[in-house]
Amino acid sequence: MIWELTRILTVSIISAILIFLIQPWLYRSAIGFFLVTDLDIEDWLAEQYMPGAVIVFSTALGATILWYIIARNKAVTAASDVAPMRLPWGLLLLIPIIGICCALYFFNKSNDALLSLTFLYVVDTLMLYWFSTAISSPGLLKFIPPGSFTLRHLLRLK
Amino acid sequence: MSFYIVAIGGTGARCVEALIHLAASGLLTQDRIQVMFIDPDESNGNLTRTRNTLKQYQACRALLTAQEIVCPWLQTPIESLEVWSPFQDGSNKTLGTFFNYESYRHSNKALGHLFDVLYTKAERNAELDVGFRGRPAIGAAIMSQVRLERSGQDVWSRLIQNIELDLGQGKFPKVFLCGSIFGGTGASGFPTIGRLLKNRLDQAKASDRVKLGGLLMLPYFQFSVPSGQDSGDIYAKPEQFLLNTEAALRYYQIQGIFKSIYLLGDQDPATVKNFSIGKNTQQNDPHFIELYAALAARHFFLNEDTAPVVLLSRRNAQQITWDDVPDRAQVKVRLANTARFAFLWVANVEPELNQGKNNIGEFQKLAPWFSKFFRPKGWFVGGKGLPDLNEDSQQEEIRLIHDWSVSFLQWLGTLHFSGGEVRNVQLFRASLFLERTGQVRRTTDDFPRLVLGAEGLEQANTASPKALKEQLTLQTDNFPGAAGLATALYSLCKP
Repeated sequence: MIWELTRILTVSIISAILIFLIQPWLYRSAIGFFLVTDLDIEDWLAEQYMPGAVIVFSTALGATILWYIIARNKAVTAASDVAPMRLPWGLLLLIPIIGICCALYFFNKSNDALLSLTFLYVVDTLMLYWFSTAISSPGLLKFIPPGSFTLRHLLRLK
Repeated sequence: MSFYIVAIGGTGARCVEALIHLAASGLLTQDRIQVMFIDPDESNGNLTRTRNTLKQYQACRALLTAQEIVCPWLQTPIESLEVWSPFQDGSNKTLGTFFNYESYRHSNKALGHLFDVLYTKAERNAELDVGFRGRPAIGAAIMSQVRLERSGQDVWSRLIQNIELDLGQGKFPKVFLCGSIFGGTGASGFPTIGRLLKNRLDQAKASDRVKLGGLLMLPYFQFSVPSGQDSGDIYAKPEQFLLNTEAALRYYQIQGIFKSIYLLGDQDPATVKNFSIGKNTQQNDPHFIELYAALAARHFFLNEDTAPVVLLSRRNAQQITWDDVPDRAQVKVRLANTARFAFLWVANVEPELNQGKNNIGEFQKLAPWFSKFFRPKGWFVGGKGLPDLNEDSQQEEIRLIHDWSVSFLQWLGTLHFSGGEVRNVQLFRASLFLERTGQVRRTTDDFPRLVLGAEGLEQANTASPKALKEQLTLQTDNFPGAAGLATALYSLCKP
């Protein structure tokens, strides 16, 4: 249990650094794909990006924590009990997806940033929800997130 | 140390059946036990069941020894010296023909008349391939003809040779005889075989190095004779059990054959379902007294000094609890360990493996423990050195472990039902793992509640199938394949 929580915490910290430090830096650097010209970049980052990023971060992290709690407490004794748990994992994925939609709808007035922002939010969600649950799902549900079987074997995670 | 057990008659075979299950639970040592069965009725149902139990034990144990797995489960090597019957040559299956009655009735009339006085015509002519029909007088006459020194071709010579070999290697063999005192084969064979063995050891000047022990089962079951049964026919009659017992006990009061003798019985004999004179229909359900019989053999084998007469009592006449089991701390832990493992295997693991073999790619994701023991499918997922679940050898291993587990659970569960309405056997909640029909239940919801009085067993109330399988996923350095999975699970099921 301690290892699983440590992994969630580690991925969350890395994701937070990515979302709140590295990604704004990419926009400030105005490198190719991240070039925003239709708004003042500092204003956009402060008023649009940050609130949207908080929504994406919190919904993805919330879904991860919720999944961990459900998986930890679910009484499963056989493979037949494990398979149906793919549904709640998939439903929980809707939370960060809705978070991305809300963030883009309510907190993005820049047409230039729409594509890159969508891409970054999707990467953030993959990191915070998929990767996090793939390496830290507990017990008999450890291989429920898609790709977790190969990923955990590749990373040699117990 | 080396151990020998001579099981006489159907009851003796049932005692050995219980001993095999105790050995499977790790309640004996790694010293070899050699078993010899004595029964004129080689197709006796009790004997057949015990031999099957032994075969299952040996087959399952071979899986572990092949990988050099050291585990309390199935740790004792048990070998069978097979069955000895006085009628092995296939002829002379009546008392009259065995002693050439027709011949000396004319040549030696006095002897013929004596034979007439001792045995009725029905007794002389009764076919004895169904056993001695509850008549010790018939059995004693036939058993007395055993000649250990000249039976070079059969199991007797192997028994004697092996004992002599052990003596030559400086070992101190222990020989344990068991049988009933109230039937035919056991009552007649026990003293006769005991005396013959004792004489043989005396001749070899080995009496002081070979310890001879015995277990006599006093009446503990009875049956109803069908109303249509001919009362003049020769068969075991329950109303004579106590009389036979009383007469036999007088003999043992003055005998000097055994270093230790154990007597076990029940004042409220259980009623067995089916009346049978012999053959494969003579198959009785396991009885809790047989658990004590096996514990008596264990006591004899494992203790250097045993009293000439060993006493045991129970606290409450209406129930048998762990408090009434000798060496209960160890017996409880080991039996609980084995029962939990066997139940989890039959009710959960084996059905999962059977379903999973059809789609390993999917199953390995739903059963994370799978890829620790069997080769997973896919790229970059490892599995070098692990066997494929669908290999014939793996399927055979799974089947063997399943068969052994069912056999163990049926024995353990059924002996709980043997108390009848008079008393309760309260060691396990047998109805949670076994139906009255003998079918092992397939639901593990009550798995943590299997053992009664589990307060002293730290994990028994908390370790659920989920928790145990989660621990399986964390195994490192485990043995591969079904045998590796079984031994890992067995270790985890320890209370």
